[in-house]
Amino acid sequence: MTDSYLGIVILGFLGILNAVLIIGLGQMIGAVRPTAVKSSPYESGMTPLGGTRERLSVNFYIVGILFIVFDIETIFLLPWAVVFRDLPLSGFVAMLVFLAVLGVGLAYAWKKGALEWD
Amino acid sequence: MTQATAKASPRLIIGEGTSGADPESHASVTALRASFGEALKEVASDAIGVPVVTVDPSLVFQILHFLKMEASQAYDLLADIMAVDLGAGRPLRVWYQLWSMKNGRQLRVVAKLPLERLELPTVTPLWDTANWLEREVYDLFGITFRGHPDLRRILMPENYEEGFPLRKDFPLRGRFSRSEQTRRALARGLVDTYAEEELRMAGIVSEVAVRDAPPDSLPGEVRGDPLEGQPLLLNLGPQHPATHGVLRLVLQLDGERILSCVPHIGYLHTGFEKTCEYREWNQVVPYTDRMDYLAPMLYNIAYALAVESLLGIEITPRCRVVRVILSELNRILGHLLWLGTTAMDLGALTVFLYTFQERERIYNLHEAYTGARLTPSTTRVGGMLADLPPGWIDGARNFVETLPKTLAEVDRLLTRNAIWISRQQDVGIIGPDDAISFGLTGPNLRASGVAYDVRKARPYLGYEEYEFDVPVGEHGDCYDRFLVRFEEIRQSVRIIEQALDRLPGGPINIDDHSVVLPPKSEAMGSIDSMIAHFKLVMEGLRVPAGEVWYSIEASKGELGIGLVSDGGTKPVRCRFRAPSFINLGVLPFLIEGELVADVLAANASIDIVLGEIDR
Amino acid sequence: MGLSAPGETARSERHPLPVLESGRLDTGIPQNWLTTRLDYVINWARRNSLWPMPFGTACCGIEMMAAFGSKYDLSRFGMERMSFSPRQADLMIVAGRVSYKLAPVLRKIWDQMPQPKWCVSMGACASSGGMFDNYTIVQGIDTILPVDVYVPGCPPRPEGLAYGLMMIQEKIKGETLSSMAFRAEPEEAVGRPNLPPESIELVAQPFGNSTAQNRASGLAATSAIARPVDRRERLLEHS
Repeated sequence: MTDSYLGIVILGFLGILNAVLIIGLGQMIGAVRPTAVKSSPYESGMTPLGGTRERLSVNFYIVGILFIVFDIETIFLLPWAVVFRDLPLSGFVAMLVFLAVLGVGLAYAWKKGALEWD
Repeated sequence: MTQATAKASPRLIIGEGTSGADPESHASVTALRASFGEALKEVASDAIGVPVVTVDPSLVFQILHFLKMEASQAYDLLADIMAVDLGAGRPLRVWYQLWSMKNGRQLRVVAKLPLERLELPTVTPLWDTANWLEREVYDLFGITFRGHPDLRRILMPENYEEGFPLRKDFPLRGRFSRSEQTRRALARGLVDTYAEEELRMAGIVSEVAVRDAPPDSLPGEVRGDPLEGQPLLLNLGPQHPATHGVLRLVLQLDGERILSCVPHIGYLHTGFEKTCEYREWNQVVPYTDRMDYLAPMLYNIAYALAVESLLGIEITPRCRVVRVILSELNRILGHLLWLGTTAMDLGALTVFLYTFQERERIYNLHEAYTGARLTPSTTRVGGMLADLPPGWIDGARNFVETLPKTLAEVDRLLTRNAIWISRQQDVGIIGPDDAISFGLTGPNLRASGVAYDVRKARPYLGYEEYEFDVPVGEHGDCYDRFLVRFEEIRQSVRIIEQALDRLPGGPINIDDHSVVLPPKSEAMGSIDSMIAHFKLVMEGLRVPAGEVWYSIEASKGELGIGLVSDGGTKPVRCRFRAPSFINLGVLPFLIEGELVADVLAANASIDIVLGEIDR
Repeated sequence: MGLSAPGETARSERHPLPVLESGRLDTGIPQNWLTTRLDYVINWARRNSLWPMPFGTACCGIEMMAAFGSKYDLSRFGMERMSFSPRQADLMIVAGRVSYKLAPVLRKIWDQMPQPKWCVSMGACASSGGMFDNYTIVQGIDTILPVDVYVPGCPPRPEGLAYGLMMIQEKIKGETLSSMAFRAEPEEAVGRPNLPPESIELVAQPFGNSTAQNRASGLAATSAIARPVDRRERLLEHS
């Protein structure tokens, strides 16, 4: 059993090491010389007008949440697809139930107009 | 692929032609004389036979209203508004160039304005295109238009203090020294880069607004209710990968939806029109390359045709066919770039590489002929810079034989592509009447269902002898504009094949050595040629006094060249009616109420090139 | 950078830089085998993975796009990843004419790019104003920001641009870790012109020693031949 998890552990360790190295080394030996203009927001070379802490449209959040939900669903589908042939029928039915639950959610969102902007 | 459905095809607009008859017998002139009598100061004919009617400035609006609204006149397209300063304190002239789709007639209405009263009534209620055209005349000449909804500078910076550049008393290099101009340019602040309405949208009260506010209103009232939340004001450009140049759009956004869009242009204003007043007639040709740098020979050819019409000379048959070949090659060049960059904007990066590869082949032809890829400067007044080199014709033939393969591949990639269709259909719709009112020409107008092509309406260079179709769309959306331009590339291939077949021999330049330089061998040998060469080089070509507004069908639309000559070696006024300048004015109409992603689709579909917009 | 009016001391005399016996600049960072090897590696990495920021305005912009296309492929140099955000770019290619209206935008974007950064002025208009010596075109972007390589041409062929980019790569080979100290940008230089006013006047003068050019340029006081020293003295009289 340890064999099947060893790969994932090594992958996880290397991933974290990579991230720590890149960010850590960058912080330690990279030059940081912020000036007022370098820290100013970039807006195609013009001075931005209006504040940045504006109230954003709530539609952005809805689109974001829908994306996350269906993205996670896809992530769950992938390992299941890899081992699909070795699973008994109950494995197939379990995934169908999972898809059906999320499908009902999708139908509800579609009907309510959450997929349209506005 | 010319018509989408079985509806009746729109009528191809054919002009009635200028027969060279007395302008007084022109139908519109007689109608004007009947209705306005003494308001008509002068009736004349320009170099190509278009009647020019000089009118009393105080009745300009009524006369133009009559010309547009009267059923028999129906001048529905305002092609251009331009001003001419002849210098020496003489009155400024403002030209209104009109075209009637129904009757196929051109007319020019001129108003002479004394320097102490430089104002005219606006004609924006009649034609939407007058909005930007009048702003440009105000910006460059200082003529104010009473009643204009938004009369502020368009090409020069908002707070430009040196004056009105195209006036004759304005020096070529500006009034301030270079270091002062640089200092002022870099010192421009927030208030100077945003229009009043945009500052108001952001809740910022500029000093100008405070200074100009009525005495009993408090500056604080300008701000909105803070609980309501403010829409986001976003700058798209001037430095942006998808705006096709240095175009700046200030978008007021509510989430993804556009509440309003204000285009700001002038970031590439190069002062072409002013600079060309200081160049001899042939020295202007390299400047024409750099305006529409995507299809430069079209500008070269249009300018040369305009000057030749002032001179009243006929070019040789060989030159006429060569110019047709080059025009159509450049039309393909411009459309291929449009295709590549539009596809790139919408995410289809492969098409960019394919179309640029084809453009490289046209650049090879440019380079073989003139030595330059992008700025060929290929025409001279009276002919071309040289005859076609040996093997060029085979190269052109090879190109038109192999181009359809690439076109077919791009067709397979895009035309029935679900993503392409869903991003382009029903986006940026404009109907035919709005399109004509906004002054749209070229594929933009034809996609809205109006079959107006200058090559068919007022044929030049012998286009009436070639067989080609004019693709016309139906819905006026981005997808139709795509289909129309795609088909136009195929039609251009057809024209080039016919032209290559009928290319006659003979000289490429006319024989008149007071216009065209004699061949070098002659100039060194015979005394007459040497004298002609000397006069042309030292003095420059002299073009007799006159005026013309000459237009051709460029790849983006109707390209108009307005020339005024006083008999000298340099133009007095050299106006370039750039089709993209006018086409861009329609952008707010197309995208207000649409989503941000549609802005890029609509912007790309109008096919603009900033070089000619800003000139 | 080195331009100054006569009579004025050069910048290097006003601010003398410390120099070691070997002739190299003394920056306080030890110059030994390790730092030079490190320089070599860092410079190799930097010059082969430059992320250009194309500031294309006009015709040169189209030739730059052609250079990025398949025939002249700048991807060979590691530059296919164009960055339109200045934060992630190290090379700004100014391709095309720059008007005075666009000048503050250009300067602001330059200021927003973090060091180390290089600038290529592509084309005649960006380098000197080109054929547009008039009221609206900046007479050379080096009046506004420091330029490393000028690529002449109107427009330069894509091979010309590639050669200019190779020159930038050569320039990067000569950088050292210590040069980072000289890449500090003082706050008061932000948003200001790169050259002092006298130098701007000097470089923006019309280059005319031909009768036709003087005639064409519309100068009020034209002389057939104007020697550079005459022009400079006349300039100082007027300033």
